[in-house]
Amino acid sequence: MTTVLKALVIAVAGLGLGLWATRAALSSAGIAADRLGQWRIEARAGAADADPYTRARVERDGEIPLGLGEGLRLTTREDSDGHALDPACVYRFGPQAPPARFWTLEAVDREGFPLENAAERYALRSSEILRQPDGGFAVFVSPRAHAGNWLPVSGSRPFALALRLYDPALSGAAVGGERASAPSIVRERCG
Amino acid sequence: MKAAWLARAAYSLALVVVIAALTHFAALLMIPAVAERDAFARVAALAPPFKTVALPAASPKSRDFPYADPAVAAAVCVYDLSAGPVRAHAALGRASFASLSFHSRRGVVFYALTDRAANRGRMEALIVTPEQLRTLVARDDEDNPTEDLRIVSPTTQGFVMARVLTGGAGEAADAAAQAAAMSCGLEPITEADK
Repeated sequence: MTTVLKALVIAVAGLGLGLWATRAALSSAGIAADRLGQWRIEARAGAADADPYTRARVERDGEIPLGLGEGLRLTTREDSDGHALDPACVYRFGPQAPPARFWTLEAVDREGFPLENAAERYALRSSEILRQPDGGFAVFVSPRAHAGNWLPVSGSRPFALALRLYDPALSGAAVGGERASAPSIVRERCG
Repeated sequence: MKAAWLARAAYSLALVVVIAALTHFAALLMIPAVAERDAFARVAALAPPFKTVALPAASPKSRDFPYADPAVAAAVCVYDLSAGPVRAHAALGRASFASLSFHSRRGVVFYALTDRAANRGRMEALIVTPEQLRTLVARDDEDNPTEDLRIVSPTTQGFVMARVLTGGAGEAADAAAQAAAMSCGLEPITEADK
């Protein structure tokens, strides 16, 4: 009787651990992706030969991915020092973005939906930001209105930034030499 | 005595890990097959076949399509190739970026083109099955080559998505209208070779 019980406990523990690991792997950010600096490049989300983790995540979440010929989505959950993005802090995004015809920057929650904000400003476009004479720019990501380019965030849970490059000069496969243009996210202050 | 107990505990732990690994890989490979709310299912719930439907703008409240760009107006058109090839086209407007992407029933983006690839002011493509492509090629007139961009869909069903960037908050309505002007419709082979 104890043998059967033991076998049952082992089986249930194994199943539980396996399912938990699957869930954790699909909601974490770290598996099998190209990276540009701290940014994770979702280049293969819609590809037929995407890895099984990406495949499972896209199918389960119902995302309609960008095609490789259209654009790329870059995502990060951390600032340039590796700290989780906190909506109580002010971050400076810039001073350049990877070359593309057009880009948009959005603050999203862990499920990939925009953060609630009173102004209903969910994304900033490359066409509407103020730039320095040399083309550099700074976007301030903060809960309260900020002078210059401001992307509002809200809530108390860690968030992520999604940078979409439309018609990028950067392809998912060839990012090795492009590190210099990875935009940084510098934490200015918190609270 | 203690050694025997330790060995049994290690054996049990190893069993747990092996079962966990098997479960993990089985679950991972099964999710795409059993996911009922994949992108195609969500799109098909909004849009009947061959009818262009605008997707709701991304906002914290509309939670159907994660990672949809709030700065982009999108429309979808579901197609079914069982009755013949399907022509998809989108007109160009004043938007600074527009694209068409072709999604299989299994969620694979099998083709995408942007307004850079537009021909005479429109983005257009003929979606075909491998058999339909063979039929069309067999009927092609060598002296009068087709101008169609033929795209082979890996599945009989799928959907076309039009994305149009909204240049600013005030241009959202224009972009939505441009995206919704996309269409997909049956084009029987008998007419295609006339």
